[in-house]
Amino acid sequence: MSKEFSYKRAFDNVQVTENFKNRVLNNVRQAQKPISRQYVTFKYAIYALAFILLLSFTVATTVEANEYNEAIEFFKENELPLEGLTRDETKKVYKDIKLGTFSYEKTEEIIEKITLNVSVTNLTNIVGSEETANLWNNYVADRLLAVHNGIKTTDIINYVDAENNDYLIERYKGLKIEKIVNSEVEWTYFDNAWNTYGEKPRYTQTSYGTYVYGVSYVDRDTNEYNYKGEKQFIIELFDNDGNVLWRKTSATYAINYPFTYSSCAVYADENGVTLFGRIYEDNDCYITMIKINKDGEPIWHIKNHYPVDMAPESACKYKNGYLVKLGNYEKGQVVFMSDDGKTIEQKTFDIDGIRYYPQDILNIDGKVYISAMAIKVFKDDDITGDINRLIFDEKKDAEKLPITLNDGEALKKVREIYDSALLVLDENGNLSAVNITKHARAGQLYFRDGNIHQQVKYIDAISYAVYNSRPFDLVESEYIFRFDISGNVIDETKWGVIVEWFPVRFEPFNK
Amino acid sequence: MKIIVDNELIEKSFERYAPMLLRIAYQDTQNQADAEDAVQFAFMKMLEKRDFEDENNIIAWLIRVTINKTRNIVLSPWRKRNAQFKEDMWATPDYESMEILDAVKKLPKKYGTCVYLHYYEGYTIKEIARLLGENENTIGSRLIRARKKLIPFLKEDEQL
Repeated sequence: MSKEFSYKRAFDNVQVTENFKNRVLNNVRQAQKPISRQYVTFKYAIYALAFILLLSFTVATTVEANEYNEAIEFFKENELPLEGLTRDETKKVYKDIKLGTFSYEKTEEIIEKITLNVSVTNLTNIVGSEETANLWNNYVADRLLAVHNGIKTTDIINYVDAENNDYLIERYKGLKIEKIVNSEVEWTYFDNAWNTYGEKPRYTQTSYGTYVYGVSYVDRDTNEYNYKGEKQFIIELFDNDGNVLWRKTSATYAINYPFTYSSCAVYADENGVTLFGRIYEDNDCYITMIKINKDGEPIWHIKNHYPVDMAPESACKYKNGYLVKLGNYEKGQVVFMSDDGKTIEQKTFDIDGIRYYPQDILNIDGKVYISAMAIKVFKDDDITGDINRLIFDEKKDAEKLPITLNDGEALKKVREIYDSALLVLDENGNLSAVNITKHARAGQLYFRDGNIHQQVKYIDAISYAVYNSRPFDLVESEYIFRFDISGNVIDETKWGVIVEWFPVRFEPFNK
Repeated sequence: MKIIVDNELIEKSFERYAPMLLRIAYQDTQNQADAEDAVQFAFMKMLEKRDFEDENNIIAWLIRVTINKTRNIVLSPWRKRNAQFKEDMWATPDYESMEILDAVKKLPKKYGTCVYLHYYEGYTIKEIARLLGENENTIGSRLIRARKKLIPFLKEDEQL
């Protein structure tokens, strides 16, 4: 049965009956002349008078005034639009958000309006107030992570009608790149060479300009940007006025390798850029290191075989070489590469029966900060045994999952598995601090206002994902932990609730 | 040239638009009597209008008044207490249709109106935006979300 037919058939019985037609038309004829304009005017005058009296009364009460002022402050603080809202609606929206109920329809309208401008990728299957709450959390998160000094990138996406007008297509238009200095936009550049589909580009600043780099989707056959195409790496250098000095893609740096880079980590300094990439040769994975001058031209390169298929995601200076963070879904590793690229070794962090899986790294003034998942090693003789496979299993086919746990049991297991950690290595590479947050998952690192900010996702709930092929959804409270440069916790701020899928199979627990 | 409101215009508008307005109202009320009340209200309200800019203006105005009245009726405390005692000659013809109406009913009201205008009446996103006085992107976004929300409730071959 076609979709249109099913939908339309539901209305088959809804028709104008003779009785109804006669009733309406008789009423219209009996009314004959339009209702007196004077009556209408009088009626509205009464309404207006009553409204003014009511408004005067309510405004006079201090409690009401305070509530309203609070609401206005809240609107200003969060840059919410006040247009079109009455005083009462403003207060209701304020209360609705503060109480976290998200049930008032004006709240939904406002949040929809502001979040559509921020992102159009947050479409979920959660209905009603949950969806509104989710949109709001994303909005707050975006604002908290807003760039005050640095480069801000925003995907520009439009919805357009398909030719048959039966559905909408997302059209990726490009990337807006802005340099922010003390919360003010210094320059803006719109670049349609990008097609990130949510994989946010990174940047690094030098005295001579700013490198923006990341992954873009491209169709190899047509060379047009398309989300169905393959990823390629883009790096571009902006001068201090926001002009693009050069833009290079993976193909530039393929050199003699039969591959285009899909992911790269970049370390930039006054001499140029050191680029870390992943290539494949004869089904083997290699980590490459390419030095590039300030004009974007490759001047030296080396490749090293690497036994695990992982992509470089971030890099920083370390001793006489570099630390490169590799990643693949949930997996994370850090490798050390000497400056001449001849030494390559995996850095493992095993402390007191716990292995730390790096998620992000930062180097600030010689100290290295590592955001990592702290995973207990369950078997002394097999550190990468069942438990690691359990956590990092990438099979997501729900039909194959031997799920025998209920939500409560599953939550307990998952919370037992995960702790979030911040590791600090001093200038000599020695571990100088470890901070652990129980029952949480580690996220990204940011350096802002002289402090280290770590994203920490505390696991609140877990539920079987009914409507998709993923085994579980995790509901997490997302926090930003602030650390001083020695790795001591300053404070923590909750900034939202997120829902993520969970790639774990529970088979090993049942053995 | 402006269209002056008189009985002839109202009767003509009733013939043309009453079926659509009833379906829009019914989608929200799920109740024949309430849907008829909302539509009758719109045509009686039309008497108070002096004129319209053009034909599009008439249909847009009628849809807005019907939707607003429907919302008032649906939110009325009286209706909440008494709705279950009313008879409904428009009860859905079969289980499948009932499932679809039920799924649409679970959508936020404004999503349901967009789905109806797009999939039943065949209005384009641009036209719906004009009729409802909304931004095109907002309507587009609502249609996408509505479709996503309907997926769990519908069988695969009935997904909009």
